[in-house]
Formats: sequence, structure tokens, C-alpha cells
Amino acid sequence: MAILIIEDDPKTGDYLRKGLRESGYAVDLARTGTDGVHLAMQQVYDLIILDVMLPAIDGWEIIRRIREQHDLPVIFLSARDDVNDRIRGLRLGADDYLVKPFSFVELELRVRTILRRGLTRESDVFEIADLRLDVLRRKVTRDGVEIALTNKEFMLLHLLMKRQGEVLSRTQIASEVWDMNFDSDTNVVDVAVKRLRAKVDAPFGRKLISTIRSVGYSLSLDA
Amino acid sequence: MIRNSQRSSSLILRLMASQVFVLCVLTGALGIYFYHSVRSSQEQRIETIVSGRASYYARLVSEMYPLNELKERPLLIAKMLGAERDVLAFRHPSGEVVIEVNPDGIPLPPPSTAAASSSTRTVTSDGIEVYWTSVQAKAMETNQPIEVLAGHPMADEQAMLATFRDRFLMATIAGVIVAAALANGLLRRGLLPVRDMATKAAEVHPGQLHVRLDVLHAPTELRALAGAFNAVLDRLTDGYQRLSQFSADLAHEIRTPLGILIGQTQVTLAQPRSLDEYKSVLESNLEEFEHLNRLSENMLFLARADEGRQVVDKVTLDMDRELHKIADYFEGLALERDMRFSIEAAGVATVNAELFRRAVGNLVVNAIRHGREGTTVLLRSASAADKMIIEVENEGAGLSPDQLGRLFDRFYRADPARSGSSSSHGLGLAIVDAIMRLHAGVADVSCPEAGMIRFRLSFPA
Repeated sequence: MAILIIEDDPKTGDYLRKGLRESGYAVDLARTGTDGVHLAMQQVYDLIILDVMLPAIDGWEIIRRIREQHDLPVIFLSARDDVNDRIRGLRLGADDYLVKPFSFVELELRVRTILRRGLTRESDVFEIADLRLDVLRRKVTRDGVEIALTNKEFMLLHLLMKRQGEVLSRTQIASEVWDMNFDSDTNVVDVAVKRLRAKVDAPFGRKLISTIRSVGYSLSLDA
Repeated sequence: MIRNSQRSSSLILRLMASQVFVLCVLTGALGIYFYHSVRSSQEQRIETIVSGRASYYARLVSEMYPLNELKERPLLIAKMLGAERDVLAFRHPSGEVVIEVNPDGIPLPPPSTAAASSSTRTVTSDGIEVYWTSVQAKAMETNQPIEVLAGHPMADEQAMLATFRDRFLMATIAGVIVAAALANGLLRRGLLPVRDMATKAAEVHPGQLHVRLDVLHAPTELRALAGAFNAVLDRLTDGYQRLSQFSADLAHEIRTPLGILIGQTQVTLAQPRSLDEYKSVLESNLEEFEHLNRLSENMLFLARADEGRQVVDKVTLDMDRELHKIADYFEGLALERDMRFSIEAAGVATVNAELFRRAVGNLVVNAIRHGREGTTVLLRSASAADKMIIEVENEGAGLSPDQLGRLFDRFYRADPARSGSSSSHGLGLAIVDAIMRLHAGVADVSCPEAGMIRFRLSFPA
């Protein structure tokens, strides 16, 4: 998967390239709009990450020029959280719009979502090690033992299993499980994960849910 | 300030102009009245004299002297007339003048065909009015009809009236000038309190916010203005103090995580450490950064709400469903403190879903944090006449009215001991207040009974 980053701020550009490369993407970085348009015309990318406020040619112009040639997803980065800018960006065909300062984890999650869009496969049964979740029967077993979960605990585990191996941020978990899209400055998600762990992990030897400090949670074999 | 304003809108000039106008109208009316009354009394006097004279000569010609005798003694008539300019004429009905005393040669009016006596007026080519009375008589001896015509040119009277008019005009103009000057002086004196107020008001600046206008000694008309101005100053002072307090709190709020970041990074770099140690410092730093990030986001949210430019998209939400959803979300957190929710919800509200959840969520978090362990948090919604009321009630330590009044202030913490908690930075309730303002609603807090705290959100329907 190839990603083109067009970003004039050196530090931001560097860490984005480094982070995304380490996540396994092929990344090119253009530090000016002109270079960016040039690269986008010459190479084939799966996604462009574009800073809206660039000197010389601005992001709006760049997206217009690139879109004349290729139709590929674009994530806008902007320092201004202006409703009009957001609307303008989305109307111009931005697939996502992130306001600086954003967390890298959030960006990575969105990149993954966009690149995977259309390929998501809903399954009825999820399994990892000896943990099994049956969506239709609303039943969770581990090592053959049935675990009684509340509705929200079940939804949380479902989310973690559906995205096993991925790190999920607290914001994302709150949004998907409880439909709460605001930062409540609380540890609601931590408490919920703690209770889930007490039921799913604690009684069994192997831990599956891991905490990535200050980032979020993931469910994987190497927890 | 008053001096710099446009002249046309000067209060003094306007008052002066109206005074002068009133004065002009009044003296003008008086002048016209006196002019006319002098004139009419003059005319009356002349009328009496002239008609008396005409009757006298009519009797003379019909009873005492034959016409011919009179004709031969014109001097007698002239002397008897006394007044030099007056006219006396004896005329046959045919128009033939028998005797005429007419020093200025004023043309006589046409013969009168009327009855016994009549009056008329003519104007000479010099513009002098002449008053005439004619009396019909029968001449002695001949018994011929004869017209006795007496006339009086009003030259003297007209001259006198003209002098009177001119003097009156002059006196009026002089009076107006004097009155205007007096009015100007008096008004300036009278409006001195306004200037005093301006001087006083000019003293107000950020370092001198305690300056107030003297309401008690202000003139009645200015009392309301002074009172309103003082009230404005009170509100500004309050807002200004809150703002300074807010800046200080904000700086403090930023300094704490910065201190931690700088300190622990310096300590870490002071000597080589294991990878795990570096990792743990970076993770800890990340926590502080996120804390700062959240702080800046909340500040930005509040600033935008203050500007009032934020667009709020509203949808209609079912309160029962929403409150249950919110309770569901915070259930785990409540259980940590052995607390439960009790929900009594009805009705719908037209609100911005995300902001509504955030506002109620902040109140619920507040209730869980500050409520007494093991108690129940009450979530209630009810629709009143023209609004939707949401209440969040919990048991907790009692707060003084002063503390209650400040709960929605930014960075205010009723319990200073809790200020160390890094998850909250004292903006939760300020954000609730801002969200309510964005909805044109109201957030308030009360103590329905000792040990109970009730937050109430009123959304306009």
C-alpha cells in the first residue's frame, strides 16, 4: 500500500513518514505542493495525506489538480477547526478531515479504515486462541466455558475481536460501543475494559487483552 | 466627549434654539397684539373726532350760517379745524365743491349717495391713509341738500406706529440675543453634572475599575443613566476579574503538566537507562501531552461558544432513550463508587445530539465524582410550558450559596483538594454552561435540600 504525504512542516512530515513506514506502508513525502502534485502524477498511490495550508499552492488547489488525473482517497490535515473548512474539504472529496493536533494513532486508524473500506467482512463467529464469540447466539466461551457478559461488554468484546491485532483508541471504542462521540475526560472505557478483563482474561491463564499505554487497547495473541 | 460631538447634535445648542424659538413666538405675538390694539384705538379716536366734526359742520350749515356766509369766511373754518392737515369740504350732490379746506390737496372721495352719514377710507399716492366721514345736510335758507365731508390723513399716526414697530423689533432682537446668551450660560451651568460624569467616567480603566458615578447627588434626570452606567461597570469589573482569574488558572493548569514533562525528561536524560525506562517515560509524557491537548481543545470550544458563532445543528431526541444511553455509558464508572442511576424521563427535546450528550455526560461525571459513595444519581427530564428540563441530582457534601454560584466558572473547584486530579481540569461544568448558551438555554444549580445538589438544564422547546 503506497501513501503520499504532502506536508510542509518538517517535524510533522518526518514523524508521519516514520510512523506510517513502521506500520508497513510504502510512504513518499513531498514538502511542497508542487512536488506533491508532481509525485502524484508520476506514481501510483493508494492514499494521499494532505496538509490544507501549504505555501504557494494550497491544499484545495492540489486536490483539484490531482483529482483531474486520478480518483484516489485523500485525508486532509488542517490546523484550523473551522466548520466551513471541514465542509469545503469534504465537498471537494476529502475522505477524512483531521484537525491538528491529532494523535498519530487516530490518523493510522483512519488510514487503515479508508484503505480497507469495502473489504470489511462481517463474520458471525470470531475466534482467537481458546476464546470464541458467536454473534448470532450472543454467546462467548473460553476453553469451552460459557462467559456471561452484559450487553455492552459483549459489544466491546465483539469490537476487539472483529479488529483483533489492531490497536483501538478509547475515543473509537466509546464511539463504536456506546455511540458517544465526545471526549468525556473520564476513564469510562478503562473501567469497562477492566470489567471485561475480569471476566474474559483473569480466570484463564493466557491474557488476550492488552493495554497500549496512553493509546488504547488491543486483543491479540501476544498480549 | 461632549465638545467633540457634532455641533448640530449639541444638547446646549438644541435647548438654546428651542428657548429662542419660544421667546420669538411669544414676543412676536405680543408685538402684533400691541401694534393692532394701538392702531385700533387710534382709529377709534380719529373716527370720533372726524365724525363729530362732520356732524358739527352739518349742524352749522343747516342751522346757524347760510352756505354763502361760510364760503366767505374760510378762515373761520380753518381756525376751527385746528389741525393743520385735516380736510373739510362742502359739496353739492352733483359733485360741485362749494367750500374746501385742503392744505395738502388730497383728492376727495367720490360723492356719497348713502343715507344720513357714512365713513370711508382712501389712500393717497404717498401711501398715507385718509379717514373720511360724510354727513348729508340741508343748507339754511336755500334748503338745498349739501354733503359735509370731513377727512383726516393718518400721517402722524402711521409714523408713530412705524416707530413703535421698529423699536419693538429692535427690542425683540436685542432681547433674543441677551436671552440666548443667558440661556447658554445657564444651560452650561445646568449641564455641568454631565461633564462631571464624563470626567469621572474617563477615569475608568483596567487598573481603576472601582470608580463609580455618584448616583445620589446626580440630577434626577441623570440618575437612571448613572445607575445604568454603574451597573455596566459592575458587570465589566466582574467579567474582568473572572478573566484575569481565568488567565491565571489557565497558566497554572498548563504549567503543571509542563513542569512534569520538563522535570522527568531532564531526569531521564541525565544518565543512560534501559529501554523499558525510556519507554515508560515516553508513555508518561504522552499522557501529559494528551492532557494538554484536551485542555486546549476544551479552551477552544469555550472560546468558540463565547464568540457565539458556532453553528448548532439540532435534531429531536427522545429523552428516555438518551438518558438511558448516557447512564449506560457511565454505569461502569458509577459502579466503581458503588453508585446507581435512577431515570425518570419523558418527552423529546430539539438539541444538538453530540453537545446534548456532552452536557448531560459532564453533569453525570460530576455527580459520580462528587456524589457520596453508594448513593443514587437521579436523571430526570420533563417538559414544561415552553422548555425541556433535564435534571441531574445527587447526594453529596453541602455547598454554600457562594460555591454554588461559582460552579459554572472555568477552573473553579469547590474542593481544592481535588485539583490534583489529572483527568479533569475544572472545565466540565463551564462547558455545560457554554453548551446551554449555544442552545439559548440555561444551566443552573441548586440545593433542593441539605446534602443534595441538583443541576438543571432548560432547553427552549
